[in-house]
Amino acid sequence: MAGLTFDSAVLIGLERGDEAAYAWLTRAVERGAVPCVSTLAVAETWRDGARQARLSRALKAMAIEPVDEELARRAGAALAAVASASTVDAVIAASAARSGSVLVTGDPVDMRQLALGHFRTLRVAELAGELEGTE
Amino acid sequence: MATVKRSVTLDQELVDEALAFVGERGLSRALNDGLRHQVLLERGRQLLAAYEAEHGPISAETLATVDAQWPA
Repeated sequence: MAGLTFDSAVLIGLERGDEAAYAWLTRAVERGAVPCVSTLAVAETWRDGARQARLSRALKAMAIEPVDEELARRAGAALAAVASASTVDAVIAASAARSGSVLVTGDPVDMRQLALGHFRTLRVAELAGELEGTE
Repeated sequence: MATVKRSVTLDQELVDEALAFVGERGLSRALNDGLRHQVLLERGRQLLAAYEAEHGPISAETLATVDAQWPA
């Protein structure tokens, strides 16, 4: 079974009590899958622990993926291929591609550009939408 | 991270099969990884219970949207 990687939008959804984000977490837990999150997604969303109790709890239920040099180089190569992509998106996409997990994102247009332009095996799912494979 | 030694009882056949690919030195790590997975899943269940206590159950329609995209 493929795993899931959550991007920053999913984390924000969990923090805000967004039903779609909790629906993804529900199915993951039911199917024994622990979602992965890049440390860069943590950096994008974490601001004040005293005011982000739900995000804090959510992060403790996920596998946090660090950015090592090899992953950073993969992301850099993706940026060379897709110039419009942001560094954070490239790192998150690289993390999902490396682990072979489906990337659940609130920004499917940009992530699909990264998939089409570089991470050819990356599968992108919308926080609320339909799956689009690129293989 | 601090570690602790515990005496545990395990299924013999399961341990024998696991040792074939994790090795004696890898057994603790394999068990630790398995425990971590279970703990993270339980934290997820608790988070979902707290969400549903506050917001009610997640709608079938929203879950169906996830199911339609769930990886095969």
